[in-house]
Amino acid sequence: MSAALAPFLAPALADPCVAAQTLAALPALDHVVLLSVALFAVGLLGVMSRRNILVMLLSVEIMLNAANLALVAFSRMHANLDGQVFVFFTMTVAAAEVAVGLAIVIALYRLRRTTDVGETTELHDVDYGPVPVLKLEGEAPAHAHDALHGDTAHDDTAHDDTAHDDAHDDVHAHEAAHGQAHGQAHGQDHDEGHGGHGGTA
Amino acid sequence: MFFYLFALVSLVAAALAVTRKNAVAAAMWLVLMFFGLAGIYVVLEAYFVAAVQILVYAGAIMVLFLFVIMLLDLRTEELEQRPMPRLRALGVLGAAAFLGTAVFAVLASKTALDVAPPELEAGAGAIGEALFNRWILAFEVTSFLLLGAILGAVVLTKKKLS
Repeated sequence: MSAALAPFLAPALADPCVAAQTLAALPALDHVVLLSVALFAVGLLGVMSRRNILVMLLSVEIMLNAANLALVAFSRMHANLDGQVFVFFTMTVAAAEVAVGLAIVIALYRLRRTTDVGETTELHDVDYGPVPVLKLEGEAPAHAHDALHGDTAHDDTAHDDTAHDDAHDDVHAHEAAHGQAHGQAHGQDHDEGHGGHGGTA
Repeated sequence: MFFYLFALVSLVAAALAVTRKNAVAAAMWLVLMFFGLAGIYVVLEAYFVAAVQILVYAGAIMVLFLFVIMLLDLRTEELEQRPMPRLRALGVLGAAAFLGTAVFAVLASKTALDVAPPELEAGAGAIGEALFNRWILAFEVTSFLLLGAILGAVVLTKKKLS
């Protein structure tokens, strides 16, 4: 280690305050890169072996920070500020990733009451009941097709089928687009027990 | 050597953060890791990056994390977690494989990593100048990325309006 540090120690020895400068001396850059590699491996371990989605997101933060450390180290090594500018972009991307990731975690928790990724792999054959649909006020998907066909007959019924799930509404919208099953399909109100497959035209 | 002190702190804190069962404890250890990394940035003479590291990571991102963890109230969830030894072994194997490969690559590289670097003016002024001249397009694109993230977060967490 001392051999690697000799270039840094030489100017410090000529200076009166040797101790302070030695303590704050630049480390060997390959040691910084090795620390960055180790931190990235720790983050990778967290992403691969943990199942709590929050801890997985935290581990992704560790990996991003490891990359930041390498960027700063190489920026210092080449005396080039671009690496440090890139660190700011990485931080911004990390902030965006955390905002969207945590929003997804909250949506997932509302739906499944869990943050365990092992519990969310059975999407295809487990019936969790109707999925809460996000809709803007009075903007059912079928509306667009109604407007296209100039059909205002079931405007009043379109407002009360917000309990339907997405797939169901798509089927209705498709039928409406083909000019059949007007009015009767949208008036039908099915409850949660059907799991969203009970509607008929 | 301050670098080795901060390196030890951040490495231990990161290792503890990924192994804690309690998500709040993990987040707290991660805050310590951010402080350790900020110390390393100071040693590397990247003072502004160190300040932003504390402000943005420890101050904003981790607060967001802690808010979500505490809102979800995960204590019961954590207790229900089934242990998965095969997954854990796979994770350890993958991380060890990466660590071995990358350490070998660093140690075997022919690039001289220990040459004395020239002086670098890395204050807020110099970084701002680089950010708003050479990287101005990336800066503006990043603002759109943040706008998209804001809209996405709001749409994803919004309750049904009607």
